[in-house]
Amino acid sequence: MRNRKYTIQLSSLLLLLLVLIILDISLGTVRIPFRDILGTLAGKPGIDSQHHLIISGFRIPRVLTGLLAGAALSVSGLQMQTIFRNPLAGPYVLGISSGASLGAAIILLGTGAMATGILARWGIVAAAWLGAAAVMFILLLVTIRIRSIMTILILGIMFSSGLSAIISIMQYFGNAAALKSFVIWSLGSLGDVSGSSLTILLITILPGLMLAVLSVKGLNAMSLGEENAGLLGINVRATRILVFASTSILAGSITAFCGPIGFIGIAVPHITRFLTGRSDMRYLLPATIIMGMVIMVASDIISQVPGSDRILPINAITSLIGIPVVIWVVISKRKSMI
Amino acid sequence: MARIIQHKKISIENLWLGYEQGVPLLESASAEVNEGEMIALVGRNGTGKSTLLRTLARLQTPMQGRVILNGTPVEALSNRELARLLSFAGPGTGTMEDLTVFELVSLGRHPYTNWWGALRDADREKINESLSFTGMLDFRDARVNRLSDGERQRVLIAMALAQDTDLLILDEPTAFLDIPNRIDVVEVLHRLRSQNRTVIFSTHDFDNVFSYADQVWIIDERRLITGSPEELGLEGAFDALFSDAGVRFDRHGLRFVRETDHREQIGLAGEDRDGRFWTARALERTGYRVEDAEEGGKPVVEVRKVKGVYRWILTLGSTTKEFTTLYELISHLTRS
Repeated sequence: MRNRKYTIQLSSLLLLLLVLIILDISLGTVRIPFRDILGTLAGKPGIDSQHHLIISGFRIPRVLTGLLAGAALSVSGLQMQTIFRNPLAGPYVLGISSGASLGAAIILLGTGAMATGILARWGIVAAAWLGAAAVMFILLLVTIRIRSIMTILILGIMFSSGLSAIISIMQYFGNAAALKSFVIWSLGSLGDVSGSSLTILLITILPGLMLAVLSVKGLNAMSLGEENAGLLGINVRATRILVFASTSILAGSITAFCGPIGFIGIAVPHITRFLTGRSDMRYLLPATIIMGMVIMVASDIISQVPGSDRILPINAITSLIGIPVVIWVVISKRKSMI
Repeated sequence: MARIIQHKKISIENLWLGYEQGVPLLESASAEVNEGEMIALVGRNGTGKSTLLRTLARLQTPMQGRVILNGTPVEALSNRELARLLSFAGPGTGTMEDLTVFELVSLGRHPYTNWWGALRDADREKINESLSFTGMLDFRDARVNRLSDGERQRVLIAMALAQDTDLLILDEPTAFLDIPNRIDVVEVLHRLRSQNRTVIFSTHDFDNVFSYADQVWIIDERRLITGSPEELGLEGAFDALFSDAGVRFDRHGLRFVRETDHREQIGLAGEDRDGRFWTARALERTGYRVEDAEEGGKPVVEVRKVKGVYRWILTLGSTTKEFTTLYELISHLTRS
């Protein structure tokens, strides 16, 4: 009975996602007939080559990036909320995005405004990735030594604030052009990933999601607290390492390629819990992945301001969608939120 | 079916408990529990009952000594091995989570399920069996955080049962429960003896100790005293338990009562048994030592029952006073 309801919910979400994907591809500064859109998607020949290029070279990679980002950030948010048993935890609480931002800041601000062109683009991604990986490495060292999960949460938040402070200092001394490119990077973008970088993003996200799937049983037990999880036969330390590795890969890669995208990771797990009424990870994880994709693609549609030729920064849109959800969680103080 | 050979389920050897700094909570404790026994652990707040139970469940490491489970020291077992031998329910488990009863109890199957935690038919059967054993089958789809304390406690026991371990350790399973719920919970635990399961639980509820426990463990002044409840009564172990707090053990009522210093004598007369019983209780509560009315030189209360209505007549020297309720009598006595 409950499982049938879940299947229906999941199918409806998938259907909604499909509609949103087609809508997202249809929208943009260049108007393309709907026939050409469907034609390109179906791989039919004889489509206007200009239109074909825009669709397959720009819009489809953009939507695919959005799908990956939505899934990755939501899953890491879900993992963080569960392992810390804290409804306000998200993919960035451990300082992973600050690490990535520091990496990007070193390239963008440290080298002045020279960061243009394809090499610089890869330099930013690589530096951001290294920054996130360095944070993850420190985090895992801490995890092996420190017993209390709350201590780890506090250390993560402090670490994150410390890195932000260093970035502020770099911003203060950066020149105007460099500062602008860093600010633009920090507003997030789904549009800069295509071709080989999209392939690389896909290759990094998939193992992150696989680790998340492997952590499902452990996380279910950890929702009763680490002590009880241990009594149920779970290897708590191994689960922690699995979850932190997964979150670092997911949130770190997305931040490296797209810049920081806020609130998706915090809000989507709550929306999913509320809509499905589930708290069992085995059901929550797949639903969160799809819901993350839905919200991300919807945010992308809104950011293109349908009917205008302007594109708003994606980070602002996701925050505007996510913040009311977080406020709702805090105010309703529902025990059931976590 | 009675077993001829009894196996030691769990034993503790020369156990010292405590925290890094400061005095130990428990010194050199040793005890043995046989299969199918029910052990009640009692002692004052802060004496280390929870610490002892948590040490048995390997949640804490002792300062010294060993805990041996089925012949193996607990520290030699993996988490999964331990989870198949021992289940533990502490205070506060399952209060926060937005899980259904079925979902919570199914977590008890974790030591047996695969990497994904998938339930097989045998697991579902075990879960339903545990729920029906604790009388919670009708609550299968209810949210745990909406249950009453008594229901939640029974769900936690069901979860421990689903874990299918021979040893269950429960830290104050009857705390915050009303009397019928307390009896329910302890009876559920007691019924586990028929499945040859061993239960160790801590409690402040001496009614249950005397009615159900095979062994009582008392923690008193950093020592662990063990034995059957009657044996400990015979040795006077209960008398010492709260003596420094001015509370003594009343062996007739199997309860603890406040020691009162100046006990004035009072005589009690009357034919009606119920009337005498309850009047005596009221007078004792007020601090009188109740005696028969024959000996003179003290106030006397006579209980009369006329046409189903009680009256109390207080005689003090030559004055008498009549009361229509016990409450009035007691108020009068305490005021004068």
